[in-house]
Amino acid sequence: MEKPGDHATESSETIPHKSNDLENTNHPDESEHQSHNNDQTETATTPESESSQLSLPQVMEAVDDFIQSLSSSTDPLQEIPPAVEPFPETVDSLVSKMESSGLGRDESEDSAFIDAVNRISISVIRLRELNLDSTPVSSWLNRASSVQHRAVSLLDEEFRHLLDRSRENKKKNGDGYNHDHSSNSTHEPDQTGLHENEPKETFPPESIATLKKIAGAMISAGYESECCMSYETSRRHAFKEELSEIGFDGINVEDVQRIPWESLQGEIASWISIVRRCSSVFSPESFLCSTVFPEQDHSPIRKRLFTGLVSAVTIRFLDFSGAVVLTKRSSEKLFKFLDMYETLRDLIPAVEESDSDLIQEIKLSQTRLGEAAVTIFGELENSIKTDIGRTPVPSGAVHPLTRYTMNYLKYACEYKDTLDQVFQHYEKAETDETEPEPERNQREDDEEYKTSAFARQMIRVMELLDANLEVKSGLYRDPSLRSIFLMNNGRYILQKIKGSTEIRDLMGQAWTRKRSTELRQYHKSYQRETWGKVLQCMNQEGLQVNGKISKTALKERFKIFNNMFDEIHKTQSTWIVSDEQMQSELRVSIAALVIPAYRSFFGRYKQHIDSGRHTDKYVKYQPEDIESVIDDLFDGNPASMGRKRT
Amino acid sequence: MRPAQDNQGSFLGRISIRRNQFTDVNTEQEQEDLELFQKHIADRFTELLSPPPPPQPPSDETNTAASVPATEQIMSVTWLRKLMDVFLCCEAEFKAILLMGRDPTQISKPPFDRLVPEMLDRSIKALDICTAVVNGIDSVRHYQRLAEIAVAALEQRPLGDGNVRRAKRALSNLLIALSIEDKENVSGGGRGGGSSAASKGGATIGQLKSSSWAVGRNWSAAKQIHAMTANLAPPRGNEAAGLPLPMFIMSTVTVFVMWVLTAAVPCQERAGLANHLPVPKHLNWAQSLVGIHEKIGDEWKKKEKKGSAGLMEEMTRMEKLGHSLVEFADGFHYPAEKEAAESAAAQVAEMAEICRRMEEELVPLQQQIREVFHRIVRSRAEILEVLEQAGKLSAPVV
Repeated sequence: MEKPGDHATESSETIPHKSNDLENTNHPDESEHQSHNNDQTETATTPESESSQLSLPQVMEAVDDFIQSLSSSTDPLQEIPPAVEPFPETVDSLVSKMESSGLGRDESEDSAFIDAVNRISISVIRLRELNLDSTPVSSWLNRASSVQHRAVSLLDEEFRHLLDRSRENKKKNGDGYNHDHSSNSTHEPDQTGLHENEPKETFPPESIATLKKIAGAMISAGYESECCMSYETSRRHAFKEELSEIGFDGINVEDVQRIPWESLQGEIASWISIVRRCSSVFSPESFLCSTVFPEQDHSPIRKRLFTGLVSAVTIRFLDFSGAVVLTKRSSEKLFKFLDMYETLRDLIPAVEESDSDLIQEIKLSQTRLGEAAVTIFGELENSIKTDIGRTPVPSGAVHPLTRYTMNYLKYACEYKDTLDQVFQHYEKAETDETEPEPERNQREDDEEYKTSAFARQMIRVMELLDANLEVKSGLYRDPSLRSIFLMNNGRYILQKIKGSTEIRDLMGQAWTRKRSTELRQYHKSYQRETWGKVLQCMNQEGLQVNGKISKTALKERFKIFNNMFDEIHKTQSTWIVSDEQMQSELRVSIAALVIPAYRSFFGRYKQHIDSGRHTDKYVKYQPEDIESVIDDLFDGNPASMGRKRT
Repeated sequence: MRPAQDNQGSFLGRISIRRNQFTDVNTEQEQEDLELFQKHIADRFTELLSPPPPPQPPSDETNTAASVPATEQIMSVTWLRKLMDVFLCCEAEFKAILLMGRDPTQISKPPFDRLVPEMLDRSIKALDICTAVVNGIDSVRHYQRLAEIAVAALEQRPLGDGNVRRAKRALSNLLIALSIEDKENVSGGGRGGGSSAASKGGATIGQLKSSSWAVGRNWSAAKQIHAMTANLAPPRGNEAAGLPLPMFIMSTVTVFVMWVLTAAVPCQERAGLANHLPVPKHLNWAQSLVGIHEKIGDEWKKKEKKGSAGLMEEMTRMEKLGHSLVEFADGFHYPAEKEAAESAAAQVAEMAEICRRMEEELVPLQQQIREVFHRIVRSRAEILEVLEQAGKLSAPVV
């Protein structure tokens, strides 16, 4: 606050001489004193004779009458009534007193002061309107407007001081420096002070009441600009300080381009929390604004001040998101971009009270982020299309591309509502450019078109992945391994989809059923390819020559079986089926197919060779052995042939 | 709507028709496009340097005939808005030349593998300057509001001591704001002025300064401008006839426009802004641009010594009027002397006119600069997209 002395020197040269007389005859403190004690007791003396000894309320009353007469009287005013004549000087002495004590000490004193200022303002405004040509009146008007200016300047200082004090108290609070009642409400121990759901109430009710009074007095004095400027400046400053305390300093486009992604991620995370915190204090800010400027006709002021503040802060946030979106696009950025998109989306309701231009700016920034997300998602498609390696994954295992794509999609699905919005928006923008209205309407009626935009996108990615895996499966020479590869990948995809409610809902049941059917087909074709020949060799046909079992043929059959079975054991135990359930399903189904067949073959024909020597040479496997060999399959273990060694 | 849009539309149309007719890169055609581009640049800047006289009454455009020369003056807010339009026109035309109907691989080969990234880097720097300038215009709007208070107070009749003091308070704040703008920025935003006037209105000014947003710590508009020119050289040899030339021209125009904006309004860190811009004087398209540059550069050098918030014509006049009205206020005794009051009234009217123009044009200027920002962003994205396409096309097929 400014020192009273400064002002005194400035005003001494301009306050008319009369003020000195007045102060001599009627000490301001005394008159103030009287005004409290003598309110009821003292009978009004005639204003004409004893104007200089009137109490403040009496003078005020006289001024009220005077103001009244200004608007009703038809005669041009020639001079100021004697009771009103010294009013400027009365107010001037009140200003002097207020300058030394400050507002906010005593509510009734504040009110009396503001009442006096309001009266002088009204007098000045009315007299100006009358545009009188009388020297005494003009001279009074000059004194009055001079005092008015001094008084309003004081109010302005006080206004700013009160606004700033809450902020300073908060800082002092950190040093345990509480001497003001206003610190009661600034109890937050941490520096951020901005918590979600916790309104940023740093103004005690007394301060608010005083602020409101001052604002009203300034505005009715015609000092609306000064008042708004002080309010705006102080609040902006408060926000800026708050933001810089919680670590949001301006960061420019160029810096954002230079920062490595790892660090930028941190910046983005803190940006998100800051924007969220900030949007939670916009509402209390709006409340403060409407409390300080409560009048009906203050509505444009409220709107302007609140909008100005919110825009200034929000544009800063948008600058950052705009800078981030310019960075080189890559798949890992998708989720951060979507986080930012969501943050901005949630910001909109918080600024709704401000103007539509700002909301447009926010939406534009959202669109940017959305476009970037679409591009990045499109790059996923590209990376699937262009993944055309010539070497098959060993052992028919799940391809890294499948893993990558599915994990990516799983994450993406956590954002499915947002992605749906983004794709919808994007598709709309695209069709707006290319299609005339009627065609589009027609397509929107289409039942299929109603599925979510993101689901369509997902299906596209899945189809691409399928197509790519189909090509990749062609890299395997062994059709059985091709089936295992497709099973592995198909199963992986299916499990991922079943494991995430989001994707499952998105893709729908029909789609999941179709995938399961496909898996069963791969399974069948594997069985056919690998085990068909094995079963065939246990066929009875061709073993009987002239109604008798041919030992030679039988021996040959056992040999073939042993060879085939050994070969399968050798190769397929190096194959991998990583999904345990599928692995056991496979083994069970193979066992169910092979064991009974072998058991019956073995039971029926073993005796025919038993008698000869080298039985072991032909009958290598007991039926019980078959199962343990089958259990070796799909373990991805090249040493499984030697498993018995361990 | 803005003339920029119209020009752009017709020009793009023309180019695309031609390009469609000649699917091969037709060097003759391209040469013609380049010459047209240079001519347009020259024409546009010539018009900015010395606006054509208002059209004669028989002209079918009746609206433009009423244009007042004063508002067209170099660095006036109207002129700055025209400059923004010119930039947008040039940019649209340039992009058409660079991208339309062009084989993407062409701009990824040498020397473009160097020239294009350099250009994109310049555009990133330009974005930050746009932001800083938009912030700077916020400060100008603050000056405008202070000036409006003074105007409103001094328009009161009869003019009394209270009115004059109110005006003086606003004007002192205005003058302090104008004079400390630069120093504050140079020193990094120390609070509170030393003079008695500053301490009087110090709270407002101090707060205003530290509450205006920075584009980043240690960021300097002058350094950015300088960095933008670092590798900016006219193409030589056989490069001079092809695409490198319009790239050089457009970069020069961008740097120049950013330089003008930075000089016009308060802007973070401008020490050394008067440094030479590498604009080749002998080239036809650059003549008027060089002319404007010299005019503004001289002004800047004059102002730089005593420190100035900006060369925007309205601001410099506002400052002059502010000083003179403070003088009037200091010498004021009620009742006002007739002669002094009359001359003050004329100044107040002029100040009011400046405020009115600022009120009308500052926000649109801000919007235009944001539009420039968005345009640069979009063009950059388009160029990157083409480069990516080129990358795919030239990638070895496995």
